[in-house]
Amino acid sequence: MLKRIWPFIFIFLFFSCAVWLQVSLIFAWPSFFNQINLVLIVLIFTLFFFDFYSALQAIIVSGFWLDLYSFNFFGFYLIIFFLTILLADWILRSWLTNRSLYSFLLLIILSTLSYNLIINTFWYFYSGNLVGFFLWQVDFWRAVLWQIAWGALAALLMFNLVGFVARRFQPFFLKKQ
Amino acid sequence: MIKIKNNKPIFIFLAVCGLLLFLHGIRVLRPVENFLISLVRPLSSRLYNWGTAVSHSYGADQDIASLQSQVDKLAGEVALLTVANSRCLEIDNENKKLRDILVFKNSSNFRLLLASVIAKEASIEDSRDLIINRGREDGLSVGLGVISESGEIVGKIVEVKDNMSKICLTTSPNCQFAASVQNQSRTQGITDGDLGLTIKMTYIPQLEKISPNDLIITSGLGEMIPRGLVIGKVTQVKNESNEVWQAATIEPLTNFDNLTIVSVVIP
Repeated sequence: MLKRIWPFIFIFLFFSCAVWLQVSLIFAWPSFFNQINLVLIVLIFTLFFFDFYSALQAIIVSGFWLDLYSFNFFGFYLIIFFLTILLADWILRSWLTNRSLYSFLLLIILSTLSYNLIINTFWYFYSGNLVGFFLWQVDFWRAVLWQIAWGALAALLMFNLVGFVARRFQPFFLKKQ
Repeated sequence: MIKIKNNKPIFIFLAVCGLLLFLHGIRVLRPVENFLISLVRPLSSRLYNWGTAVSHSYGADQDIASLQSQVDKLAGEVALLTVANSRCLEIDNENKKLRDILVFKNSSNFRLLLASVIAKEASIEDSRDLIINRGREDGLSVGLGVISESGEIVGKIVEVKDNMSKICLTTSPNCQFAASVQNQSRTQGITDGDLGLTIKMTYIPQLEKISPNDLIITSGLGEMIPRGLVIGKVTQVKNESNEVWQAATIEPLTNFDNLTIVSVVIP
């Protein structure tokens, strides 16, 4: 019984910590450093390293906590993360057929971009402030670029770290046969 | 069309999310949510303090020469303020005596509620509204002013939950205050945040004279915010003869990146 519950307990604790770190610690850092999207990075990592089902469980935990802290409507982050992971999963299965560092990097980049597009679209219409569409604002693209940079760095670190521990990933450079 | 091979996990996910939303909507989940938030609040407060400590040390890398010039400038200001303070104390004593003679009631009937900043909320603008660990259960409501440790107003409450509230900072766009200039004519205007960095005071009549270094205070014309709370100091005045109004750029006296403890002014 404990064997079946243990993965969910681990996901609950791990993603709860990720949300607390994101909301309280990372957002308090100065500009550029506060663009680390820790929750999205670990969600994509879960999708890439484990499976879609684990990623969905992680979305429930992280989305719930973020909605508790957020003053948007309840379910805001649940929906955003669900759409982002749905898209990431489709990209992973349709285009990125191998589990290499290239695939992981590309997935992080595309997911960060889609996450920002989705969340800013929601904010644009939810806030009611329909003046100045976010796509034409330099701040939006700068924030996306910084998030992509941090995501790529995190992907490099995590991939190499897990590469020492598990054999699930292909080597960086494919060997000639 | 996105095809999903195995639909079962998605249906389970949608069912769980739907259940959460439904339970939240009918407020059955509220005690659980409040319990979880109160459980995590001390940790959030600690993490936020660490984050601001990092932010503070990151911004503290200035060369010695510029620090020395700042110290010299501040020493001069301290000397001037000491003299002004001494005059104020005399005026205050005289005021008290006169009030006693005339039996005037003290007009400042507000109290302060201490709160810790536990998080910042990401938003579409670069404003980073603050979240504090006090809410409806502590008697807070939308519109109350929030001051820093030094007594300067830093923002106001814009949204309230049971045990959390969101504050918009004076530098946040769309965070407006009824203000006046602390000069002879008590010029009135409205302040609004500008890009999360400074404050702009607009709708100042052209005939009014304001200068850099003038202090901007709350005018008391706002519903819940008392008069006399310092908003900031004028750094620049934009005055064009073909415009009906003039505008001033105001810099807050407090560094908002270091805010960890604030007080809510309850009238």
